[in-house]
Amino acid sequence: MANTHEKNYSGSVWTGFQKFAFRTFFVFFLIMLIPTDARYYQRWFTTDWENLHIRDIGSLSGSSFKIIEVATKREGGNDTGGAPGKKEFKYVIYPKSGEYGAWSYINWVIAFGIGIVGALIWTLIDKRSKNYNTLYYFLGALVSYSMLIRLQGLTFSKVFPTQMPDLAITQLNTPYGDFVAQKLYWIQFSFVHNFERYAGWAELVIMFALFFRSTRAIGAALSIAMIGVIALANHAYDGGIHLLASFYILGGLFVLWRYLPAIWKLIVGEKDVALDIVYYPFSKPWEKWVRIIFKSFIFFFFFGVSAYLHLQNYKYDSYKVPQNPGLANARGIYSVEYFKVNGEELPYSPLDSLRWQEVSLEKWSTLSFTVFNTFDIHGEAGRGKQYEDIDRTYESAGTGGGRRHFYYEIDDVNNALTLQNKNKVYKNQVLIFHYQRPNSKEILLQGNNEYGQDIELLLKRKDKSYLIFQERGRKNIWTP
Amino acid sequence: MSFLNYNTPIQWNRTNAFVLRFLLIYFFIQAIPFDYKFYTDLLAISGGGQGFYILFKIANYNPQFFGLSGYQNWLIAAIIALIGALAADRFYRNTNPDFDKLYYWLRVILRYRLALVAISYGLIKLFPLQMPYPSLGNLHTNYGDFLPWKIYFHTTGIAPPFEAFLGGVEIFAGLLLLYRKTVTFGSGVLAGYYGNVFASNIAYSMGYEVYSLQLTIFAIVLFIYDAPRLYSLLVAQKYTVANTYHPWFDNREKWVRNVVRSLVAVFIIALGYTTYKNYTTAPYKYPKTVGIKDSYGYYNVSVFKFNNVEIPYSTTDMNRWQNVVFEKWATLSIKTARPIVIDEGLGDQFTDSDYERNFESAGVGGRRYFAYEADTLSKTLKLVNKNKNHKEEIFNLNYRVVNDSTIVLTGINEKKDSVYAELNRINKKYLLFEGRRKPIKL
Repeated sequence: MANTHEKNYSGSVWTGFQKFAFRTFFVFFLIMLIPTDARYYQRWFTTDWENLHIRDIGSLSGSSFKIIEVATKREGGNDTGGAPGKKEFKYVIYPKSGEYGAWSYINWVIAFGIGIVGALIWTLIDKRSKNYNTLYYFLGALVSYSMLIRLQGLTFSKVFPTQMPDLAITQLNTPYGDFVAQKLYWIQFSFVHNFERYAGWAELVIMFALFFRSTRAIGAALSIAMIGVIALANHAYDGGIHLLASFYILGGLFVLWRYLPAIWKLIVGEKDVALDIVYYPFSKPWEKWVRIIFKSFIFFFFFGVSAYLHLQNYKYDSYKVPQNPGLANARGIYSVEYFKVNGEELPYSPLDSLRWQEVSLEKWSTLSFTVFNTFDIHGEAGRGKQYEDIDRTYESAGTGGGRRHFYYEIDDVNNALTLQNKNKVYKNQVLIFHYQRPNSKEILLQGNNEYGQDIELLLKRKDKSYLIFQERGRKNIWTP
Repeated sequence: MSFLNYNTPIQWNRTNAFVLRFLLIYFFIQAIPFDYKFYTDLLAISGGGQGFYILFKIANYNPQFFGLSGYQNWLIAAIIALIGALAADRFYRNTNPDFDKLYYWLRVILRYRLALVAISYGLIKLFPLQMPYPSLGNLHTNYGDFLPWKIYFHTTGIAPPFEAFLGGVEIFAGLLLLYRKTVTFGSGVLAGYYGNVFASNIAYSMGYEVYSLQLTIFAIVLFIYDAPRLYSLLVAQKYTVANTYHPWFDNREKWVRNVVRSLVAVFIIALGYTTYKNYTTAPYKYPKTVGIKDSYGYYNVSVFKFNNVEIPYSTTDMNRWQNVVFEKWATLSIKTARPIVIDEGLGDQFTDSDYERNFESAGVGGRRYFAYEADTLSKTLKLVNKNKNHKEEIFNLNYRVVNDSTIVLTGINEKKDSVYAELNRINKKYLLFEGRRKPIKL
C-alpha cells in the first residue's frame, strides 16, 4: 500500500520523458497564457477605474497568443466585434476554410513548437532537477485561474441575460432559412432567458470549482464536458469562438491529467488509492499572505466586480442592444398599405425590388424592411461590446433574404427621421424621411430611398402574436 | 444515510434495508415492462419500418397506469413500492437476505435499462433522425412562427455533424453502463446529459420533461455508488478504499447472466442495424413517398383565380395563395392569410402512414401543409391538409408542368370552389446554406 499522499515534498524522481514533457507544456502554457503585449499591462494603469465597464474586465482578463492572424477576405468577416484599437498583425493568412477550420489553430501549433524548442534548451541547461513538483503545482494553478478568469464574461452575461438578449421584432419576422447557422445557434437562447440563466449558473459552478484546490479536478472535468461541447458546437455552426472554447478542452485535460490515474485505479481497477499530488506548502508567513491576497483579489475582481458590472449592464445598457429609444409606442410589425415612387403608386408584389414589405420597428431606434433583391452580406457576427447603437448588430448580423436594417435618429421638432444602413457594406446609404402619425396604428413616411428616388409609404401595424412565446399543449392559433 | 458513508461498506440496518427494498420495487416497476398493454401496442405496430419502431419502443418502455400522465405514474409506482417495502419489512424481518446482492440487482436493472435508452436515443442522433434537417417549407417560415420546441429541434437539426456527435456521446456512455467497472463514468456523463435534456424540456416545452427527469434519476442513482469514493479521493483528497463487493453467481445465475448478455448484445446490434436502415431508406419523421419529379422548390404564385375571379397579390386575402413549396417528398405547403390552429403534436410517432408523419407541420404556423397523392399519368393531385385541426381541407387538382420553372394547378377545394394557380419557381439562395466562410450576396 503506497502512502503516496505522505510523500516528501521534494522527494520524488521523474523519468526523463516526464521531465521533457513537463518542460514542453510549461513553456507552451506560459506562451499561451502570459500576455506579451505591453498594452495589456498598461491597461491596469490606464483604465478608468471610476467608470469601470464590462469592456474593461474583458480586456483585463488576458490576451491570446497570436503571431499569425487567420483571416477571411469576405467583407466584415474579420470583424469580431472587439473593442476598438485592434492590434495589427504582420502575418496574415487566408485559408479556404476561413477563420473556422483547422488553420485557426496555427498559433497553438506554433506555441507548442516553441514549447518543444524551449524544452530542448531547458534539458541541456538543467541536468540537476529530479522533479518539477513545485512548478507543476503552479502551472496547474495558472491554467485553472486563466480558465476561470476568461470565463467570467460568458458566465455573468448569461446569469444576467445579456449575451443572448431578447429577440428583435425583425428577427421574429425573418424566415428560418434566411439566418446563418451561427445566428440560429445564438438566438435559440434569446427567448428562453431562464435557460440562459441556467447555463450561466452552470458556468459559475465551473468558475468556483476551478477556484479552489480541492474541487479543481471537478472543475476541469466540467470544463471539458460543458465548454468543450460548446467548442465543438462552434465548429459545427461556424460560431467563431471555437478557439476560446477549445482552450477549455486543452486546459481542462491538462489540469485533470494528474488525477486520472488515481481515478482509473480506484474505479476500474478497484484498488485502494491516494492522489499522487504534491502541493506547494506555502509554509512561510509571507507566502501565505501573498496567496491569500492574490486569491482574494481574483475573487473580488473577477467574481464580485464582474458580477456587479454585468448586473449594471443588464439593468441599464444591455450591451448588444441599441439603447436610443425608437419612435414612441411604435414597436411592432407593419404592413405597407401603399407605396409610391416618384409619386407613382406601386401595387404590392412579392417580387418587387423597390417596394418595402414587412416593415418592423423596435423598442430602440431600428427600422427594418424586406425587398425582393439581393445584397452583399456583411460578415460580422453581431457580438462584442460596441459603443454606438449603429454598431450593435445582434438584431441584424447574419440575416439575408433581402431584409435591410437601418439605424435612425429622430428629430421630433421637425418630425424627421434620418436612417442609416446598419449593414457596413452599405453604411453610406442615408435615408431622410418626414413622418406623420395619423393614428396610433399608422405611420406615414415621405422621403427618399437608397437610390435617391422620392418615396412615400403608409405603414399599418399588425396585431400579431408569436407562437415562439407560447407553450405547447394548449390551443395556439397562428395569425398572419 | 450510510449509503453515502465511504469509510465502511453499507450496514444493512432496518432503515437501509427498507430504503433498498423500496427503491428496488419502485425502479423495477419503472424499468421492466410487465404491462400487457405495452405488448399489445407493440403488436399493433405495422408496416415496413416495424423492426426499428418495435425495438425503439422496447428500449424506451415507460409504465402508464390507468391512462395517467407524467408524474402521477411515479406516484403510483411509489405507493406500490411503499406497500411492498412495508410488507417485506414485516414478513421478512427474521430472514437475512443478501442485501448487497439485492443492491447489485437494483443496479443491474437500472444499468441495462438506462443503457438501452441511451443507445436507442444515441442511434437516432448518430443517424440524424430525431432532429432532421428542417424542411424547405419550414425554412420559409418566420422565426417567430414556430413553437419553442420546434426551434430547439431545428437548431440542432441544421448541424447534423453536431447531432451525430451528441448521439455518439450518448451511445458511448450507454456502452459504458454495460460493464460493471465503467458504470460510474457512463452514469456520470448521462446524469449531466439527461439533466440538461430535462432543463431544455422545461425551457422549450418539448414534452419529455417527465421521462428525461426519470432518466436523470436513474443515472444519479447509479452514480451515487461511487460518488462518496470519488469525493474522498478528489475533494477530501484522502486515502480511499475501493469498492469491495463483487457479485458471486451460482451456475444457474451464471447461465441466466450469459443469456441476458447475449440477448442484449443481439438487441443492440439489431437496433443499430434497423435504425441505420430507417435513416437510409425512409427517415421516420418525414413522408417517404417521393414528390413529383423535379418539383422540389419554392414558387411564387404569380396568377391566382378563385371561382374564376383573379385575385391580385395580397397578404390579407384569405383565399389568395401567396407562395407554394414542393418538398422532396409528397408534401406541398401553401402560404395564405388564413389563421391556423396549430398542430400540438411533436411529430415523433412511429408510423408508416405518410399522412400521419407530421413533424414538418406540427408546432409551426405560417403555412398550410398538404400531403398529396399524385397520379402522374392523368396529372392529378389530391391534397389533404396534414394538420388534424384542418383535415377537412382538401383540394382535387390537375397539374401541368409548363416548363422547368412553371407549374399550373387547377381544380376545386372541399367546398367546390374552383382554384387556378400559376406557380413560378424562385431560385432563392439561403444564407443558412451559404454560410459564413465566403463573400456572399443574396
